[in-house]
Amino acid sequence: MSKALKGIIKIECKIRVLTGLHIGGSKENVEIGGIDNIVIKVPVLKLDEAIERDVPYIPGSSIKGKMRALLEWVEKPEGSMQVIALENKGEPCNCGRCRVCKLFGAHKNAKTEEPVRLRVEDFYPTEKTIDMWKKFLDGDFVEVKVENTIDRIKGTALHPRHQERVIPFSEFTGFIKIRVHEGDRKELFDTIIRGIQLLEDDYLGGSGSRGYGKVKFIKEKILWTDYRKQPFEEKTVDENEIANIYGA
Amino acid sequence: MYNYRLKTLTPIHIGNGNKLSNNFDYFIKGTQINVISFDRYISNLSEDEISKLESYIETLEKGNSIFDLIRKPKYEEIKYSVILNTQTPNPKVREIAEHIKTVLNEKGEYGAYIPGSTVKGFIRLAIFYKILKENADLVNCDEDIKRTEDRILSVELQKQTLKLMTYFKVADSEPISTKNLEVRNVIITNNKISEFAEVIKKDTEIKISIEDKEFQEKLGKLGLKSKYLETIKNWKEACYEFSKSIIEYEKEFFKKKGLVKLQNFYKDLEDKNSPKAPLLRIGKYKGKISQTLVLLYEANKEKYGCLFEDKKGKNNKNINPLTKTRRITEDSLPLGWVKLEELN
Ligand SMILES: [Zn+2]
Repeated sequence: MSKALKGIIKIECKIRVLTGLHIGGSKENVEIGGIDNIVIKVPVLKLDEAIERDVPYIPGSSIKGKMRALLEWVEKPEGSMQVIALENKGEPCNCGRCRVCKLFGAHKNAKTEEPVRLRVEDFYPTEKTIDMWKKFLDGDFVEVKVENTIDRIKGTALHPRHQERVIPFSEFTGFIKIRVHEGDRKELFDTIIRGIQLLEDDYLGGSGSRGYGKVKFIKEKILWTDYRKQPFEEKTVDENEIANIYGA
Repeated sequence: MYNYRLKTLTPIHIGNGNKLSNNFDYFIKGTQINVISFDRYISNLSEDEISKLESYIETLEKGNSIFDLIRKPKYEEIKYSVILNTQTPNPKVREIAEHIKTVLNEKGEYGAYIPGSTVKGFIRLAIFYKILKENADLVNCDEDIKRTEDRILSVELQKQTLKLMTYFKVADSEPISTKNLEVRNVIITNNKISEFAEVIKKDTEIKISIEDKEFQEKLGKLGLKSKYLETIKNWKEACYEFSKSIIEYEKEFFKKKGLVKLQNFYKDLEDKNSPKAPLLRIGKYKGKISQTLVLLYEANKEKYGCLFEDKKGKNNKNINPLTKTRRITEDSLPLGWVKLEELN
């Protein structure tokens, strides 16, 4: 039985890239000597005054997936002393009752009817960022990093790997949305904030262990739409008011 | 976000795979090398100049600069400038190996950096070296070095193979101003071949972040049963020992060659290496010695020699991992040495 939806909290965020970011795109059309690892791009991006093509973006699913993986190292399933990552032998939690399951959805589990609370939208570059790319990258939107694979014995460079990356100081904007249901507690919101912090301490995108993708989340504003009021009205709220939204 | 500092003790070159050419990439004025944005230069050319360029394309291939043939670059067409630091009179700089760069600031200025992968590569090798040195029984003559490394640095956890170094994260260093770069002539000992390369100058400090606490915590939480866990956890000590061996070996090498200045350089370097703030050797021109496990080979050919056999070759022919030459600067400095220090 699903619990009634009270409303939606929207966190308007900016993601600032601190070290080169790589989120993998399609590997089609890779030619010999071409780019092995391209950044995911949206074919057409409409801006206020212009249309840009093949623009790098950050899929919401990448952010959500990484956040979940990180939270599973700190959150415990209900009734467990161990963190999820250890309890579940590396599989995502499917208890359906813990904070991670409530926010992200239980993994491969039909037993629960808990609605998925968290939705992360795709993040797109700001116009200022696109201008910076054009200026810095001579018309391109990404930089290409070449990595030499070293033959350990001969000490010589083998075939170099080419990788596209989004340059530091790039900024992307988008929304993180949290559904608030009857009976939900503020700890769900706090878990998201924790997830953001963990992400900032970790990496976004591929090749994290090789050192790409340090990002910073900048919370621009928090919006609250109360679905119990007619007509729906979206208003800006303070982080202190979140507790009131969830209720005691 | 940065928790470590790298201090360069010698020039460092980390290539981005690109070679700048004197045809159209840079313009030398005195000792200053101005690297040009070709895009900006072309878009500023007049129609006359463009047709001139077209007709000159053939002569360009012979190494002439378009900036001599068409026109000198304007100030706003310069991407960045670096000083040419050479003792060679009237040097012919036809090509320069470019150092890896990214954006330095929101103004879109260029900055040089040290990739996290480069630093992690050394740390990983140091750990592998220490484990292998202390456990010669780990050598399996059917495997090459790469496979041995993969085997030793991973554990089985609940039927999954877990690569231990996955959790050890090194981010790219902060980008630093191109003022910290210079172009050096890198020469080969006992040879006249040389190469110009952009390097990060000696005595430059660069911040970097090494995610080691989370790594330690996860290894602890996982309750892994790798007997090499302690060595991995004490990675700084492994770096110290690995560097110590390289330094000793290099000192001996230059002593035999009678290159006193380099021998003395390594004598001084010994004192700068410590288990808390170890030295690392990174980037190009560091030579085979630190990339491979030649030191093990030298120490005990019987035990470790078979790691250096060519497994793909038909006759199991041995590859001699030792080299007779080194890359140095004109003023007799080796390249690639940095000191790693934890911040506060
Ligand atoms: Zn759960």
